[in-house]
Amino acid sequence: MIYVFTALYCEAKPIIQYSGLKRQPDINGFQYFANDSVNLVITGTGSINAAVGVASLCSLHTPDSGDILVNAGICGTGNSSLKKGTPVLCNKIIDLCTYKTYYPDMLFKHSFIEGTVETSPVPVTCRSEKHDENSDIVVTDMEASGIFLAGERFFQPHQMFFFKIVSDYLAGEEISSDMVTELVSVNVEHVAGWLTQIHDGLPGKPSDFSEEEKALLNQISDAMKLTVSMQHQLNHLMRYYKIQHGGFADKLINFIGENLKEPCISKNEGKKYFDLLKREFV
Amino acid sequence: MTCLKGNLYNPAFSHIYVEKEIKNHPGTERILSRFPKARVIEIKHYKDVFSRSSQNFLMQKRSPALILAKKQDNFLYKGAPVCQDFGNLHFYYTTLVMNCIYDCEYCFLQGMYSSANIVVFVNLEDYFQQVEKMLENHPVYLCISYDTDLLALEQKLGFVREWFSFAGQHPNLTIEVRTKSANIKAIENLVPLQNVILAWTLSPETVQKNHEHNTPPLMQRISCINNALNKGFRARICFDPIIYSKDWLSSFRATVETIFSEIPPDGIIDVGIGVFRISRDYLKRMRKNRPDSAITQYPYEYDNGVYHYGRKLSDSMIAMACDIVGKYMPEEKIFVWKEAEGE
Repeated sequence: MIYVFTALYCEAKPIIQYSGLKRQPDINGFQYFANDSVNLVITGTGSINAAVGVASLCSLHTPDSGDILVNAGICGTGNSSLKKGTPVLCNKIIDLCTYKTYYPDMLFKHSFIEGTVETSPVPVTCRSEKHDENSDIVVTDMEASGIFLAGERFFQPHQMFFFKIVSDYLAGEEISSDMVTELVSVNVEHVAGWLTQIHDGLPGKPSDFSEEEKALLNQISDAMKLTVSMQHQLNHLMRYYKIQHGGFADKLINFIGENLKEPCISKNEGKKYFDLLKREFV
Repeated sequence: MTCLKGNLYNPAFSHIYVEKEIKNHPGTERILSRFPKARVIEIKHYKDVFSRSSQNFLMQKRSPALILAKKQDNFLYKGAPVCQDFGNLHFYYTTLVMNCIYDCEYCFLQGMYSSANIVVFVNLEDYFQQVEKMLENHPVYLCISYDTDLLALEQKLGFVREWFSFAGQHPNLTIEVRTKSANIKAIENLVPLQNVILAWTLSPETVQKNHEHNTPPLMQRISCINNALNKGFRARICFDPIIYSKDWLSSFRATVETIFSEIPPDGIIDVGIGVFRISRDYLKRMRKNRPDSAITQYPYEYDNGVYHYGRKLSDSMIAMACDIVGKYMPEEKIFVWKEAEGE
């Protein structure tokens, strides 16, 4: 699942249309759109709203290791060489309230410009001294740090992507919602195509035991009167055997048939069979 | 489980994080010049990137970033109990680099660090100063490549060359450079020294192929050792950790036979032997990182904070390994890590 967060409806509109998202009941007052592979929440402006929006969606639909978070929206920049509509993939996020800095992992190849986003509590309408003097590409938004802070509770740093699309040059220009929608629209196919590739390839939560295997483990655990600690050892033993041989059910059924037709009458007797089991499976 | 195709990942070190304090350090400039295409991101402190919460070690291994930093303190560490001292009284190790370009499933680094990114401390001059202070009191045996593989990184970092130069001026310092590298070019222009030991870790081919990802094959490492010996370097062989499997003995025997059919045993200064053992905290993290690894998921026995194969199995593996190596090396040149020594 791709979890998308935008501040404004006009930023979300092209994504909703491109992905064919349907309006769902609001979550904690946040507008929520979704289909089978994308969840989108409109958080409102500001990093606190953004953080609450992320927490609201992710608490309701808990992401796993195969999911990604995307923050998409417009930004300002003092760098006039960046054309309006240029998407910047952020490798560094500076919160201008706390001066804390956050770093999403940059593991994947891409053709975007990378840069720093500075998250300001108020709209930046006049060019001021940039805080990341080392980077040529510095843009300003109002949400990224809040999205990251809340997002890292649910996602790992390689699962989070921050796209900021240049909309103004910090000179207090008027920007209509139609202009915002247009700036996002021209990028949505390129950005979504890249993100989909990554999302489709990310490893999901690894499977451990099947239902049949779990039932067998419970059965033999009861039959041998294993303690909780020994049950953990049994799980490790079977996980190890499964990695090496692809499964353990047949062998375990045989073991039960040969040794444990009747349940053990004491923990001591169970321990004896557990030792035998360890010898057979290691 | 599906995985991203390799070509979707950035190459290693596509991104280099540099601490602001050392951005103009000569070591930083030298290393950055070797990565002209890398994107440089300035940071305040290496831990801001390296110690972030909930990083994914395996994902980062596919595209590790480089972090250039300044080591502020703790330049030298007393040798840990789980490490072999090879009979040296003043045994220390130092962390010049944190993490390794190789990806061995049994490696303790993945249990020790929350990140697979590689931290390089560029202020070698401060390390040298600390070692010189210690040398005023006693000789020092120093392992400089424990938490990394310096030889594998030599063409990018040049640290082994620097330490050769330093060791050449301090005869009462002995350094060990532990490696799995087969890159003879890294040392071909260095002058061999009596007080520098190049220590190669060797494993059976099945272990190398299945569990030591990105490492050079056994035969390449053997060839590199031979080249090093021919140039006059002092070489050590480490069979540590020996990994248990049903057929470990036959593959270990075949490996030792292959090694000593290619390498003259009298050219090797000594051999280290140890079976896999790992601290509880490290294994916990390793199991989480690698749920599909037979090495991390083995049902180890636990006592005194360490997971191991069990005293009986470990002892028998050590005894058999010593027996096999003993056919080629005299007993006094075989060093064994034993639990009792590690306590």
